Amino acid sequence: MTDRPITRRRALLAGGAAVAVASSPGSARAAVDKALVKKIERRAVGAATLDELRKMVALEAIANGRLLRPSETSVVRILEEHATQHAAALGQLMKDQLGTEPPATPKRTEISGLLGLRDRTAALRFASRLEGRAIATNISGIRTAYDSQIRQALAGIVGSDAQHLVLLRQLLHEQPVPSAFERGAA
Amino acid sequence: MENTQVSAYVNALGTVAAPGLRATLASILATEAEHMSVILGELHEPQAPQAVVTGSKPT
Repeated sequence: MTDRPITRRRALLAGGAAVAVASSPGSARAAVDKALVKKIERRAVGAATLDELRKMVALEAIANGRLLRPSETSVVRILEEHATQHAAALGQLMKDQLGTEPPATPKRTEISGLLGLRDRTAALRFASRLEGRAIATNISGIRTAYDSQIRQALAGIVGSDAQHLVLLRQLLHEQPVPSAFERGAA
Repeated sequence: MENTQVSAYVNALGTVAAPGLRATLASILATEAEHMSVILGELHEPQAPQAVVTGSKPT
């Protein structure tokens, strides 16, 4: 009991020191924190961009692959166009706000499983898996990003990718909204 | 209503500080966007009309 005031004093001193360090504009601590935040956000947005680029390439290959019916091809073309817009928007975000170049567009041969697709069901399921993966990556980015603009940009893309999943599930004659929480699939 | 809810979730994701809560809100947003898509389909309208789904603010 007797050492409580000392502990409080120490805590206050430590707290004051911490506030002084954190609030000092030129402090090393603030610089380290800012660099760490940027690193985390670059990783999150970079992963989201790569998923969208992967989708863009894979959906184009599927649409051109003559595995789908004409009406299904039209749907996949819309998804491809959206993935292209998502990748462009995220790439611009990386340049403008995070000061780094977006990841390179993957080649078809670098997308595991794409070249082995042999029928429409396999192709639609593959597209569905890519959409699910993109949703999971974007939600992970929303969880970790500190910048509200980045989070909201990712949120707009999550909504779009979720709608893509509905379209693909309907083509596969699956339940379009199977869960009250769409988390995608890692 | 689904449209307005999506807008509310997108706005909330800009302000909520807790990472775990943000992830949950994002997964609900995704489901709301899916509901929108199903309803648009029932109305014979394009089910994924925009590349970015942000909803519309209540009027």
